[in-house]
Amino acid sequence: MSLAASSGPPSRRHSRLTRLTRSMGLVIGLAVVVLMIVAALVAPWIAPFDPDDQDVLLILSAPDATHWFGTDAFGRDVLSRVLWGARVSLYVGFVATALGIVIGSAIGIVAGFYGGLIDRAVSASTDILLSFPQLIMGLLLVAVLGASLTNLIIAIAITAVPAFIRMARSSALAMRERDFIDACRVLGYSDLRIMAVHILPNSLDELVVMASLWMASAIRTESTLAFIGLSVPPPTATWGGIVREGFDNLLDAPWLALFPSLAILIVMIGLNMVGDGLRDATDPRAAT
Amino acid sequence: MTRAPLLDIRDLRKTYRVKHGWPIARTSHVRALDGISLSVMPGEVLGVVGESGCGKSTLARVALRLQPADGGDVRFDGVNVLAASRSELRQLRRRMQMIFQDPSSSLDGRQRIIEALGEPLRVHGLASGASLRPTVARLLDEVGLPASALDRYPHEFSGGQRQRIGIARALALGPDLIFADEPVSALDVSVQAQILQLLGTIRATRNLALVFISHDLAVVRAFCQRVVVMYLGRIVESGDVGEVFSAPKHPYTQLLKASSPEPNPAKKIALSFQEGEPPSPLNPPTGCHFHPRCPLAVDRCRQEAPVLRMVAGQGAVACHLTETG
Repeated sequence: MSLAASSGPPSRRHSRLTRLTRSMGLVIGLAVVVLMIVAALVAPWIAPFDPDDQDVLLILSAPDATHWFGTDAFGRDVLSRVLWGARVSLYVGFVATALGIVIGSAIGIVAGFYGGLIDRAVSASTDILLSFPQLIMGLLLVAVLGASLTNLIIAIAITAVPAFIRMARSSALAMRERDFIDACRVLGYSDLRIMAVHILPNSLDELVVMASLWMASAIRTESTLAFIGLSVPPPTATWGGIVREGFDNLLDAPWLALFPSLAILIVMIGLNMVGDGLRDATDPRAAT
Repeated sequence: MTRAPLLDIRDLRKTYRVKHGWPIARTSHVRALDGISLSVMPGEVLGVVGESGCGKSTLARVALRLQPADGGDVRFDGVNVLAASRSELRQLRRRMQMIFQDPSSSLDGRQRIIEALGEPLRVHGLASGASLRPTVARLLDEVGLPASALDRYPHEFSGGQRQRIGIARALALGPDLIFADEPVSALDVSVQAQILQLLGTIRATRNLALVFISHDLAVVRAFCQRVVVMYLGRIVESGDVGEVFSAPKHPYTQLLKASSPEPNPAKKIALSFQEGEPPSPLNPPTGCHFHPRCPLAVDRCRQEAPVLRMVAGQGAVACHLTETG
């Protein structure tokens, strides 16, 4: 309040403008992401062709009225493959992030709430896990576990867990010192109740913001792994896989790699806009 | 002294370890509670006064087992609080409650009032389902809030109203004793009076015992029957409120009284005290903790810590000077 009072009219107008564009970013980002999810869900009905249907007479044809995104080296419709690929890519991103947030916040809240030895052990392990680049970690895990949809999800979830642990832990640690947690103790609530009913809901804002950003990163990791051939084996379409297939004919048929890359880009921008928008929306300093 | 005390604290000790210094951290010990003994009778209001950092809040937190004690004994109605098992502690929670200083941080901002006050009732099996709402509404009525408050969030209330909710929550389980840790210090003076009046009414109707922690002498004087004065983790004087404040025996109590504003310009301050902060609890003075600020200090005060001894009347004082005098 004192901040608003001390800042003059120009900066206030500026902040109102940025806040407006930020909330607009949230709306646009949400629209993009929802549109993509819907497209993935209804792919079997809206895809113009079977994604695995090969047409030897139409190899590497440029985009036209029938094949909007062109066809690939096997004569398969790229639009249909991108739509079907969205199912795998978004599914992996969503499930892996969901697993990451559930496991990560459970461990993180327990570590932050109890502190002591548990906390030290958990913090040390997260620090070690976080020191691996996400991609190397995912690569290692898929290589060890083997390339399948489930293993892919597990691998990406494991790369996400330490980040969620760290965030949930710091949130629980800060909250443990607050009076309302002491009040809960005095009222005789169990530790489990305090963590599940009081600490978790109060940490959820931060966790959801991070989840939307991590989903983008999970989709990127999946695409990268698919690009180097460590994802769901072909012919199943995934975005990274289509880019990989298009890479062989990049000069003759650039649309092969272009359209799935655009799809990845759009979803990532959308998710980042959602994340930024949510962060601003839940930031208490932004609320006047 | 024929009745048994409700709360009996004997020689309670709590030391915090503080690490400071760089690159090699040294550990200092802060004696927040240095052998505190006191008792509270059923239905009695005991004031605990002292400067900030003297250990008054720690006293409540340790007695309620929010923090572990390092030594001593806390008995509530004969039950050893510090050694209570999980199920014993659960029973004790229903009888010992706490009111916090800052009502905005002691309420979960994401809980509606019905949830905040209904949760303890459900957890302890005192009310559930259809009986929950009327029970909570009765609690709200007792603290002077309308039933329409039930479905609102804490941030929709003023500070005073929030403290009423905090009081209602402390009352929810039907306690016999409430620790009130500076319950009105965060409030406007006009609201303070209302909250104190409310606490007084509730105390009388429920025959509650209260441990009223405060730094405000005027409030303690008006509200409490007995008072304990703390200085750097030790009790320096205790006794009947009227006696302690009308004729303070310990120089520190005299200082407190002298620095507490009184509407009487003709009144002279009896002793001349050194100005300034109390010494750091990290490195308390030897002997009597108060000697660096005490105008009457003699050599013995610098070497030997005085013990709390009964004096004429009902009070007790920890000062070498009252011994000889």
